[in-house]
Amino acid sequence: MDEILQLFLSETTETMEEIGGEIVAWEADPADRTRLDTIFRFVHTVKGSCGFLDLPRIAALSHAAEDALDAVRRGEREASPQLVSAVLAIIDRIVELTETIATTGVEPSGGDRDLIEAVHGDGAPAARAPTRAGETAEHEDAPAPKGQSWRTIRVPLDLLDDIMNGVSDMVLARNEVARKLRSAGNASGVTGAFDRLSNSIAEMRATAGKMRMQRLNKLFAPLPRLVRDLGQELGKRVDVVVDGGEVELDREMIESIRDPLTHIVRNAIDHGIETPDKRRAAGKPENGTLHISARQSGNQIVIDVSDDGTGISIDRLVAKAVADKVISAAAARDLSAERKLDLIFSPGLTTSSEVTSISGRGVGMDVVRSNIERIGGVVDLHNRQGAGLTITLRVPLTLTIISGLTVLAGDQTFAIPRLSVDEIVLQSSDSVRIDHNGGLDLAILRGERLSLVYLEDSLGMPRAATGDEDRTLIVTRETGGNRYALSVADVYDHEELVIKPATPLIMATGLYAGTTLPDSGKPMLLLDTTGIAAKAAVGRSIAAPIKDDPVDYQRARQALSFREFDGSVRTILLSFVQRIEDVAIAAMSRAGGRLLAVIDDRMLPLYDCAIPADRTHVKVLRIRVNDRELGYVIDDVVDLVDLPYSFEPARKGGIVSLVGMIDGQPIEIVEPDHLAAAVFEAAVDNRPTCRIAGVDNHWTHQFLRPILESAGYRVLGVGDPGAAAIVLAAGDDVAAADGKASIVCLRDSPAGDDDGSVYWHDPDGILAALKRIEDAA
Amino acid sequence: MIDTLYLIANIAGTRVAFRSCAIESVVIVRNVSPVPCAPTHMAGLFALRSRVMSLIDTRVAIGFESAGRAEGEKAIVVDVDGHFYGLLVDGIEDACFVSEAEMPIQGRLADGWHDVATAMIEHDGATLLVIDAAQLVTPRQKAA
Repeated sequence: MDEILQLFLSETTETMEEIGGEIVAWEADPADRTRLDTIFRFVHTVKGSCGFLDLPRIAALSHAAEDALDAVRRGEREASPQLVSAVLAIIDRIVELTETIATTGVEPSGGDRDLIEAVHGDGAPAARAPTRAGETAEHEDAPAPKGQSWRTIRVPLDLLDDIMNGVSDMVLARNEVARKLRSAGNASGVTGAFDRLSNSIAEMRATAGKMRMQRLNKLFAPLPRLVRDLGQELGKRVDVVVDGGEVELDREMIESIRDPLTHIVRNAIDHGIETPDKRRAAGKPENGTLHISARQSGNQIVIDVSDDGTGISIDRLVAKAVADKVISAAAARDLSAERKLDLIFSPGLTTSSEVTSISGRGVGMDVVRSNIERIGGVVDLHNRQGAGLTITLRVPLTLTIISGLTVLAGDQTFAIPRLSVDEIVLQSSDSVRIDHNGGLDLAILRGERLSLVYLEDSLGMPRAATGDEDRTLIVTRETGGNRYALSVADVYDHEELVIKPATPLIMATGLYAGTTLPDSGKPMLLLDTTGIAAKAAVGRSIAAPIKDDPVDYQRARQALSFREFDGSVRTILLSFVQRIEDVAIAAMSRAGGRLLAVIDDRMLPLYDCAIPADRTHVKVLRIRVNDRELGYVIDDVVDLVDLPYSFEPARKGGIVSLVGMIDGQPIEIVEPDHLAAAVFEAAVDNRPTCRIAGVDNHWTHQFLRPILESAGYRVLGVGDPGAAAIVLAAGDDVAAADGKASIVCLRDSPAGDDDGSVYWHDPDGILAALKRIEDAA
Repeated sequence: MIDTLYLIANIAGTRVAFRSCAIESVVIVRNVSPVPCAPTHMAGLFALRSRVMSLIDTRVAIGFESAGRAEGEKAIVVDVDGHFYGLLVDGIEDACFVSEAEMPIQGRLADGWHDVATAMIEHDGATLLVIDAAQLVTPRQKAA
């Protein structure tokens, strides 16, 4: 039987047990409003649940009872004894039906018209339902199993925790016995019996662990209904696809992600998916799709919520962030696209232009992120502007059991969460160089410059006398993302560790995240790698210049180095480079005040530069910044390089923002955002204006205008104020032309006259005509 | 008058009483792990079955020199705000019923005691300080 049905059955039975007394009391005093409300809530809940479950009989019954009770609540009907009996008869029938469903798994066929008519009519029930007493008698006649075949019970979480603790105690006791048996030798043949005991304890531990697990279905089941209701309220149509409901997760984790997930879904419907009209205009199906999926990946659960709505408008987000004083306008300009997207997590920010009843109350993604991070999870965004947004939640499988690494500092062992460990390297390894300068320790690992923190120093313990070469480096990161190297005396095994919260005295040190009890029975502290980094001032000393950097160099450090025509070598982050094209000089032209290249029948705006006259072909880097593409003309590609971690800011400004050292040579780093600003803003200043006169229709809005704009023209429509240098005039409406403007006449048939006019559905012809005017000017 | 059960212990030569309702058990402490960087009265962690507890050196909490012992000593297990603590004392005498009501403290105690003692009781011809375990666990600003 499916789990939702089971849940419905157990809940219904349970509520029935609870309100049994209320029903009887209401029967005695039909004027009692509180009792009436309780019963109303019950039938209302049952009705709601039936909607999902395809239980037409129960749905019809509860609906009828709800109607009648609602009328009583509004004072339209009197709670006559007949009505009370009719309602009670319905409730009895519902209980009867749930019991049958519990045994057979399906709702039995049959009619309930008698009861429904009875509750609707004012008179006596047409066929009076069996009284409660009568029904009981019936059950005594048929002592069938009381329908408990769904075999689930509700257990308080505390009880489960007690069992877990008990099992952990048993495991420890077993270990102690095992040690004693070993030291005593295999005396008296207990070993076999002990092994059996040991195995059953291991099995029991596994089972106890599973008790806390729950299917994500429990979390996902209410979402389709939520989406349907929100969609109706907002006039949007949304299809929901749910995958991976069978994935299991610790109960407590499920509770912790319920609110963030609901919030994300609400956001997707409210801000993401457009109204059917807008979707049609954007060429999308009228029904939006919300895809919710879950999968297990290692000891993490990954939940994706993906919609095909508008995505996040980076420009609007930044504007809102600036308006809300989350960030200054100047700082916002310098952010990379990825960092701009991160602004969505700023406290108190919402991108919705108006506050709706659904979301946009100012409680936003910051709460989602902090809730997920509190349980050791991560939130990722994948934004497809105009095409949708995917939010990925990664959460650990359980709160209490983590995979940990045991390390030695001084003479004491500590645990580090495996998730926060990037890499483990011997300090004696060839790939590591350790520098000590003025009290500052650095580990240079394959060219990457990392702060080096000795764990003993952080913990105020004496370092063992052995030299550095015996030690091990653990490359880890703090929550800000900065990597650093933690030097420990030794690294032992990976272990699954049961983590217990530590007392406030321990947490106050800021160095520990919890305690754990390994099989040895000697408690161990779980290190907080962020706290250790903070204490060692890792973020401030070395990583700071990197962190303040506009582009997130740490995530995407591979860069392309290339040669300019003047022989200098520069680099640009590889992640921004879409591809490298060979472009013939013949395919390049100056139009609309800027250099353009035609590649695959598309205009690509280029960063202006002087190309030596003897070239017939040049290489162009196609660079994508903030969803706009531009070209950067280079002499040749030199190499792929890893960007260094330390930079000097460039003094002269322009498109170069930083200078770093690669292979002993200073190298300029081209900043894509600055490049985009130079290319696109330069064009804004002296774009020629072009007016489309005489026609104002779908074609001019959706096609002609974008074509002209991407070719570098500022486009005015029919009623727009301002003077245009060029007028595209359709039909005889040339009179409306701006005074001194050059005029391109558009004709409405493809068959050409010789009057120099252009067919108005021929964009290439129009662009060519515009270009002729430009060239003449 | 209902008799109240107290546990009589000795801290730095002073006999004190703990209300028994605050006490879980008295255990022998083994396998103590120190907690680097923790406040000095935090003597380490130890395990009682599967529960990890913090060990509090009451001498240090009150302002005396640590006796420097932990392993193998007896500790009084108390529950403060859902966390378990073991209180290391110099000696545990006995549990006994006291029929007299608690009395307010008359006059001023020395600084360390002032923070942790909440009342006095009369027992067996002597006046004993009643100690609040919660105050031992998180002493107010110690001489900083």
